[in-house]
Formats: sequence, structure tokens, C-alpha cells
Amino acid sequence: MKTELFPLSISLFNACSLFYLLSTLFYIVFLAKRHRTIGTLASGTAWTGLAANTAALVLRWIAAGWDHPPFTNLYESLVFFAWGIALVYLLFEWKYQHRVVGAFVLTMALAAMGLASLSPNKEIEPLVPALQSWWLHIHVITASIGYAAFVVAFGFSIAFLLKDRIDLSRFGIAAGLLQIFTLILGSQGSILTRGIYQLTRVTFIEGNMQVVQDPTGHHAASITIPGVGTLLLIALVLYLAATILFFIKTIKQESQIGTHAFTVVGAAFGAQSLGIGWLVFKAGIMEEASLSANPYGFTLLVLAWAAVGFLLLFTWKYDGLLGLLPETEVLDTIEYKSIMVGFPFMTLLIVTGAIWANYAWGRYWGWDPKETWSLITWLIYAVYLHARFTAGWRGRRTAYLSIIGFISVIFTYLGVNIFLSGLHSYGSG
Amino acid sequence: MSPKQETSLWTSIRKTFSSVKLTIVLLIILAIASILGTFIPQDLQTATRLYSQGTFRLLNSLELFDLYHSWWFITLLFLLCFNLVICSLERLPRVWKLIQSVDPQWKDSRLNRTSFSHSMNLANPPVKPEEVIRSITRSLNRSHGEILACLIALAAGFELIARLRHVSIIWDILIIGSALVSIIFFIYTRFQQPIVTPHDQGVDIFFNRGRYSRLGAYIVHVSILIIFLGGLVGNLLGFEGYVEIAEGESKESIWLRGEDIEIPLGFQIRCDDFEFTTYPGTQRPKDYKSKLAIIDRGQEVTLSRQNGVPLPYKIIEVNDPLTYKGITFYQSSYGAAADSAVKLRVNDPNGEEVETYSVNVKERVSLPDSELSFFVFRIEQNPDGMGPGVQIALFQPGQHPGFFWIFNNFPELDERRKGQFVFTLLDVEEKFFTGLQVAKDPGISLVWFGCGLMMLGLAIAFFWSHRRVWIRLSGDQLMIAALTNKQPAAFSKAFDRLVQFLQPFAEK
Repeated sequence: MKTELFPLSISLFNACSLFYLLSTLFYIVFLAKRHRTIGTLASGTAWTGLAANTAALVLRWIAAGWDHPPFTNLYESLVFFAWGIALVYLLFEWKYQHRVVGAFVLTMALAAMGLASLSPNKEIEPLVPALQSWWLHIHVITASIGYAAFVVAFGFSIAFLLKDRIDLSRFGIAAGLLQIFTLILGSQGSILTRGIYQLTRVTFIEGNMQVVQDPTGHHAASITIPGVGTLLLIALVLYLAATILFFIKTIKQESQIGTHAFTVVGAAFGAQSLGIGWLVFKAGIMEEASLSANPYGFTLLVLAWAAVGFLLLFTWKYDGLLGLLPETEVLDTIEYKSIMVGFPFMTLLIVTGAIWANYAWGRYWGWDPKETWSLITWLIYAVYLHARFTAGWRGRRTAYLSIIGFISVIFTYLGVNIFLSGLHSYGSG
Repeated sequence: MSPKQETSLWTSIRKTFSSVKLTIVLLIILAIASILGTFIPQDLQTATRLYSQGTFRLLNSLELFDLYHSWWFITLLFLLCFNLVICSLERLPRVWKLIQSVDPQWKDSRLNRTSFSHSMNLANPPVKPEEVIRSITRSLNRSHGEILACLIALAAGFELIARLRHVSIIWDILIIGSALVSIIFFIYTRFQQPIVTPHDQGVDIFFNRGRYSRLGAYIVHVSILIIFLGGLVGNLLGFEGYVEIAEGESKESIWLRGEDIEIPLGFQIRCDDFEFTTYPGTQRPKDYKSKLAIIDRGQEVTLSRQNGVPLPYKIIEVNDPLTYKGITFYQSSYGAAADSAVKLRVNDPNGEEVETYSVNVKERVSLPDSELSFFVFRIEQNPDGMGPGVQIALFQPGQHPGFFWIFNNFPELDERRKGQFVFTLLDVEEKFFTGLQVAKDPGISLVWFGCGLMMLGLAIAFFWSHRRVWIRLSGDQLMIAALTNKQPAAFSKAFDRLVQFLQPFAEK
């Protein structure tokens, strides 16, 4: 019976992804249309997704055995992270009855599930000796809840800035820079230097994906996806132009420039959407290409694209949005309440990590990149709390701090695994 | 130097270090430095590879390749500690005064100044103050119950987990200790009596709860200092090292990590057995365990128990180390010992067998009818998931030795090398050595205590507040006013409940 549970859990995970996708779409429509029914549908599908997520995790746990919890490799960790985000968000939604940030927060849960689905290895892998410990349980659960609370806080910070009538051009500059950064980084520079987009070349042996080495044997080979590079290069150039225009607008304050900038962004978004769509299509039909070969790069691309999508949505439905959002004080308060939830969990995360490290490796703190970055995230939120309670900061300044903290959370959770290596890496991610 | 000048030097130091702005500046510098350390390689080998000579020398002079132990990083940490101490000392007197200042007088102005106020006409005056006190105490104790329940559950959970995995006594004491202290404290607050002041207009009652919660932040700060102290003690009085012990061998000293210094243990440690298991059907490591014995002054020491019987050994594995006399041995790695035997066959390129050898590691063998000779350089259990393999060094006079691998699972592999001979790995009769991480850290209990204290401090700072409730019973009027220093939303609910509990006294 146990072996049947595993495929069932995979099906439930897929169902869960679908529900999160539906829910995200409903929340986005809710932002635009403000219909109560749509809002209820959004929450309903989110709760259903969470139920599916929970059931899938439980089944996977049973299938793997009691001392093998479902968060020991990258796939499981991402799914568990998505679960945490959905749970914490829905609890906050239930307590405060505000649906407005559902769109941003659920996008993160969806992104985690999406990245998980691109993970080449979804099997239950038996635990290596270092992971055979009860501290694994506490450490990962505190991570999931803590990070989830910070993601919810981020959602409310964005909502606050919107309601506070922040100049959307500033969002524009941030979004533009993010696009330039991800397009260059996600393609390892090839879009800028050669106008092409490449994926790692792979072959499939008996259903298992194997990376193909290039003739020297030192690196993985690449395969160019035709057409994608051109489209993304156009998008990149347009985003650059838009960012410059936004920057000029913030200095000169002429709304005409702002309008032009948004038109350019719209065009860039169109080109980018075409590029990503073409990439997905081609990667699906080309034999030697697979999005699972570059899951991080692709997810980064899609997340950045979604950010611009949100920006365009804000601009298009600005007045409606402002009417929908509750008072700034409310948004500000919930933002700091979620951080008050996240901070103790983050502290517990670092402490349990130290205890576990001491039993496994003989030292409780080794300035490992993961440890160091989690400390930095902790420090940023400590600064947030001091700024709020000791220095009396409110409003925009604390919202910015919350956003900086969120970026640090993402880097701590994923960035360290991708860009830096250490004892914490999940192997060849 | 005149006393006046001395005071002003100390005063200016105090002034600089009591500023929160300095804290933020120090934290930002420390954060940037720490981030830098994650991008710049922290070991010299990688650094020499990555950077040109000039850049390397420049960065090395700033100790950027061992950033976290550099003089300037440590200085920054000390400055932060000093800043923390001075800040706390400066602010503590004021907070202490606030805690001790008890203000039980009813003031009519309170009704207007706070949003938590209420007045009601009494149904049957005069009301006995004791009855009012009882109702209010019951109402206020409601919220305590929840917190207490959470704390106990948390402590119980930790204790359960600790019991399951043989965590040390100190941890047990800390957890049970803090749980007990919290329980005692909460029971004490439940029975705390309000201050009753009768006067000619009636009776004033004053509840003063949770005033020590104002110390929450200071407990957190002290805990940070304790953690730093623990780290310092560990750094100065402890060590981190490594030792490899072959099966059957015993060692008396260990090697310090990163330096060529040998540290005597003061006793002998012997590896009686090493076991390595993989998951069936895969090469994935499942467990590696070492059976370790300790001989101190000629006597074998009891290291573990089975069914109450003391045993002179302990079987350690990853996550379950051995501690003796303050020194802890962690299962870290393993490898093939020098006297492992490797059985391999050498063929000529046509497939004809030349010879079968049984050799030890680094035992040089000459190949017949040729100038070539070889030895087995390394044995690996599972390099790159390829299964058991050995690395051969092939020697030809006048040339650099060639290195290549042969694997038990891939017998045909060496044909691709197109060498003068084809090697096939038949068998590896391994004797292992166990790689142990050895550490002594006298400061570790301080660190754990600091961590526990920090969690307690955070809980107090976030979720416990200083609540004051003033009541005046005067004639047929009952007036209440309340103040809280934190958590207004939660207190709003508590205050509503308070009023609810007093409803029986009110006029219908």
C-alpha cells in the first residue's frame, strides 16, 4: 500500500499547483473587478489547494517512513515552502478579512510549486546520515513558517506603498532594473552578448534526464533555443529605455514621460511574454532541451515577468485598487504583525540550525554562506523592529525595510544554493 | 590629569556608545562584511586559484580570505558588544523606575485620556471591593491561561524531542528550568493582589500586571552578550581538530584544523570497528558508524549502556557523537586505510590476461616485459556515484606518471584509455580508517543558555505587556480606566471581557 501512496501524492501535488494557479488568477481578477464572489472563489480555491498540499505532504511522509519527513531534498523543500506560505497567508486572511494581498503572496506560493515541478528529481530519496536527525523536523518547519510570514509581510508592504500613493514610476524603475538583472543573469549574459538564449543540453535515458557534457568534458553543453534570444533582447532594450524614462520622470515630474514609459514597458512586456511563451513551447518539443535543466533560471525569468505584470495591472486599475485597499494604518499594522510572527520563528530557525550543526559537524557556527545569510536576514528584521519600536519609524520607511528583508529571505533560501556553495547545498540543484 | 578632564573623556565615550545610531552603523558594516565573506572564498587554496597575484596579495593583507576571524571583524564585534552594554546600562534606570513607580490613585482625567475606560451605575450599592476584585482577577487570569498553556506545550515538546535523542543534561536542566520558572511566575501573577485604597469618597482599586515585561528587550540584549561570551570562551579555551584512526589503531593526540599542531588528548582513543552501509540497490550512503573505545590511565572507560549493562565502547554515527572529558568526537568521514588490499587483473589490448595482482595502496609493481610500473594511489567507495573504484598511477621512465581510475562496476571502462595494458578491478579488500572531527568547546553551555534566554526574552518582549487597571467605587458609580504599553488590539479584547465580567454589578 505504501508504494501506491507515492504516485497519489504526486498527483495531489499537481492538483495543488493547479488550485494555486486558479486562486492566483482569481485574486488578480479580484484586484481588478472587486466582486465579492470572485474574492470568495479566490479564497476557496486557495484553501482547497492548501488541503491538497497538506494531503500530498502527509501521504509522501507515510510513503517514506516515519523518520523521513517530506522536506529533505529541493523538491520537497519547495513544496513545503509553498504550503507554509499558503497556510500563513490564509490564516492572516481569515483573521483580518483582507483579500487584497492574496495575489502577490499566492504568486510566491505558485512560484515555489512551479519551481518544484521543474525539479528533475521528485523521487523519495533515502536520507544520508547527516539528515537522519530530529532537528531536521524543527529546523525546516520553523524555516517554512518564518519565511512564509515574511512573504506575507512583503505583500502588505507592497499594498501599503500602493495605498500610500507611491509614485508608480519608482515601482517602474525597480521593475525595470529587476528585468535587466534577471534577463542577463538568467541567460548567463548570452542575451546581451550574443542575442541568444540557451538551455543546458540534456538527453533522456530511460526517462531520467542526463546532462550532456561539452567536448572538453569540463562544462555542460548548451543548446540554443531559436527565436527566444531575439525576443528577449528586444524586451531587454525596451526595459532599459523604460527604466531611463521612469528615472527622468521622477526627476522632472512630467506625467507625459510617465505615460510614455508605461507604453514602452507594455511593449517590453509583450515581447517578453512572447519570448517566454516561445521558450516554453520550444523546450517542450525540442528533444535535447528541457526547462528542468535550468529550473532556477526559468523561474527567475517568470517571477520577474510576473512582477511587471503586476505593475501594469496596478497602473491600469489604479483607482479601483486604491478603493479596494484598506487604510494605510491597517496595512502598516498587519505588515508589522506578520514580522512579529516571523521574527521569533527566524530566531528559532537559526538556533535549531546551530544545535543541529553542533551534533552533525561539531561546530555550532561556521560562517557557512547559508548560516551567514540567515543571520543577515535576521539582522535586517531586527533593524526593522528597532526602527519601529525604538525610533518610531512608520509607513514608507518600514515598508522599504520589509522589502529589503524579503529580498534577503529569497537570497538566503534560494540564492545561496544557486550562487554560493557550502555544506548546505542540496547537491546539484 | 584633573578629575574634570578624566570625567569628560569617559563621558564622551559613554555618549558615543550609548547611541542607537552607532548600533545601526555597526550592524550595517557587519552585515556588508559578512555578505562579502560569502562571495570571497574563505580558504586560501581557492583564493590563490581565483585571483591574480597582485589582487591576491592586496585582499590577503586585509585578511579577506579569513574575514570572520580577522582583526577588524572581531574588533567590530567587540565594539558592538560594548555599544550594547552601554546602551542597556543607560536606559535601564529609567525603565526600572517605570516598573517600580506604582500609581494606585484614581484620577478622573484617566476616563478621558485612555480609550480603555468605562463607567457604570451599580444596581445594589455599596458593592464589596472583594467581589469586584474577584471578578476582575478572574477576567485578567483568562488570558494568562492561554500563554501558560503555550509555554508548557513548547517546553514539553522540546523535552520530548531532547529525550528521544540523548541530548545533554545541561539542555535538560535549561528547558525544565525555564519551564518551571515560567510556571511559577505565572502562578505568582495570578495570585497577585491589587492595591486597595479606601478613602472618604469610596474605594480605589489598582491592578498592576506584567510590569516586568518591560525588561523583555533587555533580556534579549543580555542574551546576545552571553552568546558572544560563550563564543569567545570557546574560541580562546577550545579547539577544533581532526583525527583519522584506522580500524584497530589507537591515537593519543589529534591535529588542529588548519594548522600543523598536534594536541595531546590526555587519553587514548581506539577505533575497534568501522561499518559502512549503503541503501540496497544504490550507492547512496545509509549509515557509517565507528565503534570507539577510550583508555584512560590504562583503564577502559564505560562509554555507553545496553539494558543497564555498562559497555566499554560507544558506537557513534553522524548526529550522535562521543564526549569524554569535555572533548567531543564526531563521525565526519572515512576512507581506505593504507593496508587495504586491492585485487586487479592486467590484460593486454587483445584481451589476453597478463597477470593478476593483489597489492596494497602505494605498493609499486613492475609490469612484465615493459618499462611500465604502477601502484594503487587511492581507493574510493563511491566517487561520483560510480561505485567502488581505485586510482592507478602508471609510471613510465622519463615521463610524468599518468593517473586514471578503474571501477568495480564498469570492468570494460579501461579499454577506452587505449593504453599499453588494460586494468580491471576485481576486488577491494578494504580496511577503513574513520575520520573524526574533534572539538572542545567550554563555552558551549553559555551559548545554549544564551539562546534559550533569547527565546524567553523575545516571548516576553513580544507577547507580554504591562497592563494597569484603575477602579473607583464611589457611591453608586463604578469607574474603570486601563492602560497597556503594548498590544492594544489584544488588550482591547481583554478589556471588553473585563467589562463583561463586571456586568452582574451593573444596573439593568
